[in-house]
Amino acid sequence: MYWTLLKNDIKYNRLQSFNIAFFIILSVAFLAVAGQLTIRLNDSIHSLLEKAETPHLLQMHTGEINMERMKLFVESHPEIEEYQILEFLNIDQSLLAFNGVSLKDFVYDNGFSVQSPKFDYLLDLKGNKINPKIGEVYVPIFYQSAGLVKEGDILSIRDHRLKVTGFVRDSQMNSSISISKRFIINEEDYSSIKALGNPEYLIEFRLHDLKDSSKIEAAYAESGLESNGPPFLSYRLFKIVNAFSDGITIIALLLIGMLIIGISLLCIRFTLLAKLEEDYRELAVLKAIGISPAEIRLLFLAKYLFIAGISSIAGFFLSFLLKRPFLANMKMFFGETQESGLSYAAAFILSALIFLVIYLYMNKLSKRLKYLKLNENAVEEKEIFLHSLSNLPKMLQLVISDFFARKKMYFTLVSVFVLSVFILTIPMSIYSTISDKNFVNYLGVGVYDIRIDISETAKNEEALQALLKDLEKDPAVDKFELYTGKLVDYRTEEGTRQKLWIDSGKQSSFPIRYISGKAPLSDYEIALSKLASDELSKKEGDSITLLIGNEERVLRVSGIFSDLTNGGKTAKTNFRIDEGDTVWTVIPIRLHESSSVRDFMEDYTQRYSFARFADTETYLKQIFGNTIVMVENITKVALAACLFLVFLIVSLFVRMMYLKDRGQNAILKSIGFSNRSLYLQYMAKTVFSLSAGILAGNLLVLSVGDRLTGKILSLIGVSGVHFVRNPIFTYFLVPFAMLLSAVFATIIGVKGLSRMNIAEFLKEE
Amino acid sequence: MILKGINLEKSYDNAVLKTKVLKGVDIELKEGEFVSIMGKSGSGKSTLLNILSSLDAPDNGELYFEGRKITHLEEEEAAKLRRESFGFVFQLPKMVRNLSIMDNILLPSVSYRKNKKELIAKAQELMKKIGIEQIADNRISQASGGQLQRAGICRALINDPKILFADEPTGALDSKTGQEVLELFSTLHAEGKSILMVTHDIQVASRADRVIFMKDGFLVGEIKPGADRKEGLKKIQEAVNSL
Repeated sequence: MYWTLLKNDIKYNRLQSFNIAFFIILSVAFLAVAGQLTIRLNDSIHSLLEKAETPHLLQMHTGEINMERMKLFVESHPEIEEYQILEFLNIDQSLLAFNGVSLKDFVYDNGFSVQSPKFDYLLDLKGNKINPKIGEVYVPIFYQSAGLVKEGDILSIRDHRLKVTGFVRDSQMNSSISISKRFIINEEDYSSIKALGNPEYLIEFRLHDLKDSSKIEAAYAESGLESNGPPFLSYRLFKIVNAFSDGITIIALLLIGMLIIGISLLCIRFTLLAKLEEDYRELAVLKAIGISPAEIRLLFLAKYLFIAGISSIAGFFLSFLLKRPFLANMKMFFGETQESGLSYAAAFILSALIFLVIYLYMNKLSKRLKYLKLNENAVEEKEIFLHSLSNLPKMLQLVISDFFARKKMYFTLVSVFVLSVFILTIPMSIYSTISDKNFVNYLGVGVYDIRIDISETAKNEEALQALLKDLEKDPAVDKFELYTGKLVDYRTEEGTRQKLWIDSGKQSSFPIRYISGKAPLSDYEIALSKLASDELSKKEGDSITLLIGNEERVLRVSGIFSDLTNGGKTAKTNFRIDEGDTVWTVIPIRLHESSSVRDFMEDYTQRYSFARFADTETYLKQIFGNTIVMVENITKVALAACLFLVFLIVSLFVRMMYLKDRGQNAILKSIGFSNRSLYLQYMAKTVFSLSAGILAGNLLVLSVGDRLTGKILSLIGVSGVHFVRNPIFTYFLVPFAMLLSAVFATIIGVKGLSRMNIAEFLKEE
Repeated sequence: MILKGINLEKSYDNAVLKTKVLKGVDIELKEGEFVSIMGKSGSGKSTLLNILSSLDAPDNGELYFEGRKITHLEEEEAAKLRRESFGFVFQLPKMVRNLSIMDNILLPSVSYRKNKKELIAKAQELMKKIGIEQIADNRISQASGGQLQRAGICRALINDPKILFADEPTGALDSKTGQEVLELFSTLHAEGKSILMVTHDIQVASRADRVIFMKDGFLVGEIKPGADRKEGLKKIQEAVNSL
């Protein structure tokens, strides 16, 4: 009997059944995809790092290396399993070109190397160690994914021509947020081009136990071994950097999935209550003839449990199809990995969990069936009469009264709108935030129009002074500042020496946003990046002792900022540190509003070939290009989903209201109300609800959403994010599109109103 | 002639069969006339009333109001006609939820750009005349069936319609209230209002100038009850018995 009832019920309530099934399938699919991708990403990164035998610790160094001393250091530390010193040839990008197209406008540091002998292998796209023949070059995969090069192209290094034979998966420098990129060539080619670049060394260690990383790092610094380069990079940082792009996608999927569950529950609530209202008297009759409340509940819930069960299974299987496009990026950067049992288990557990949540929720809703009584309504739809509304136009009075009379139903509808706004605005704000020029704040530099990067190897003091003089005189320049990056020793709590990357220069010229505290403005202050403050266990107000020359200088931590560059562990001082070698120089420039960034770049690039010029957009595009495209795609999907959701929910809601209202509408029509005025009532109800939803949704995004997304982003190293929004898009175009969708849905929902048989429905009332 | 129907036909379809409810009815209502329509259940009397009052449309035939053809009016035109020229009293009081009794009565007049004070004064006058002035601000749930039916009559009269249509207006009322409502109809008729009423109660029908009888979708006859109520009742009863 249950089966027959169930079949008929689904058949006669197709729209409701479809609606519930749709949302459950979608929420299960999204969460199951996110679950699978998380496991897969972890597996893929792990697999790549294992295959490539990624170093556990890496120190970059420019200059001579005392090999004997290094050997002694390793021998005295049994924690070190293996070590190697790789040569890495930095070649200025102005010397590089793909098929004649110069790479001079790219901000990446392009280096050439041969295959590593012991570990830190550079792999091809099949996961094999690359051994290039003479005349062949394997290009970092980033350039392929950016569409800049394909197999068979020619890479010229000044006059030396190499054929692009394949692409490199580099476990250290794969990610677009890693500023250095490694090309791999044959040893003979390497010798031929060596004179064109400046060698740098990668001093790499593999340990028996990863836990000893900090100990070895400290011991290395204490021994005063070669470290003229950014501070130690660790295995953990390689993992984080590799997970960045796909991590953001997974977070977005998780958020969307969770929000769709919320919508599914609201939909179920709304449909179930309406259905309960419809069937209440019949169910009460069943009780009156002696069928137990438990059986009645089962009878009532059977259909929904059936739909939820089938939909959960469908969502589970759909997730296998849906994950494919998301896996493409992962496959390209990390290679093919076997689907693990854990990935299936994660998808299954998440699907089962959603089913359980839905079951518990339906069970809770159906509890009111315990108190079935004949001659009563299930959903109390009180007659509302507000004296205060009597003076309003009658149409408006009817609309407002309806909101009060069916407040639970409207609350559900408004909640769906709030969630839709949430779903759409979160990826939209992530997109506009990371593509906004202010996002450089989270890369440790204030907002600028043009950034000049000068590496130590390319630096020419005379030319630098000439450049600075030119900038001073240039009427197009509003302001600029010279920041030098140096490795400075500091004393740890244990009394040992360690190195910290410090950018020194006037901090007020190009201020950045601080997660906590403020910029270091006095000579006794220092600001630390989030990762550095975590590493050093220092917070705002703590002190840190720098060893500058022969002097010990105690500085107070004035603030913490977000930085993903140079390994993420950096610091800033306002006073200039003259001692020690400058590793990097950055000159951010702000131009006057009327000046052209392009003209400036063209002029200066020609005159100062030793420096690298990039405008903010180019810099961000190159670093976050992949992520921006991915989040942009998610935003597009979210926009489509949101508009579809609004359409679906409004059409369903208005349809239900319309069916319930037919008797009342017949009365209104019989006393001379036109179809137009009735349409207007429904439109007004939809538009009011939507406006309330958009308003509340945006308030929720501003209060809770930003904090939540900020917390999640901080997990991958970007902290204290202040979200940027495009006001025209967020507060005008999106609401307008939602409004169009809702209006269209309302028209569909009240289909039949103009042809309704007044006499027939008067009988119903 | 205020209302005229010529060869009116109407069928209802369902999945199984098509039922012809009106099979070519010709009917006329003169200005100021009170006409009752009688017949057994399923004879088509309510359908005829609905078509004449533009609540439903005929499949065939023509309908004229004050000489103007109103058979297939545009929706806005039909609504205007129902609002300005017709008034309806139903068997059960049909009230709009969430509005007070006064608001319900005023409802058909909202599209008019009339003086609101005047409208309220008119509604109050009607309510007083019908004896429900004390419930003006009550909710629908706070009024009895009889009070609601009277409120329905007030609403039907608020725009001073040319024809008052009524479908079993006393059918759901107790006899005392029913009598009072009928007195009201008689008064309205005496004041010159045209009334078309469906009923199966011969006492009710006897108040009309003319009684029309229907059977199986056809008009099968009519009588004029005349001034002698007793004689009139007898004539109607005989006609009903022959149906």
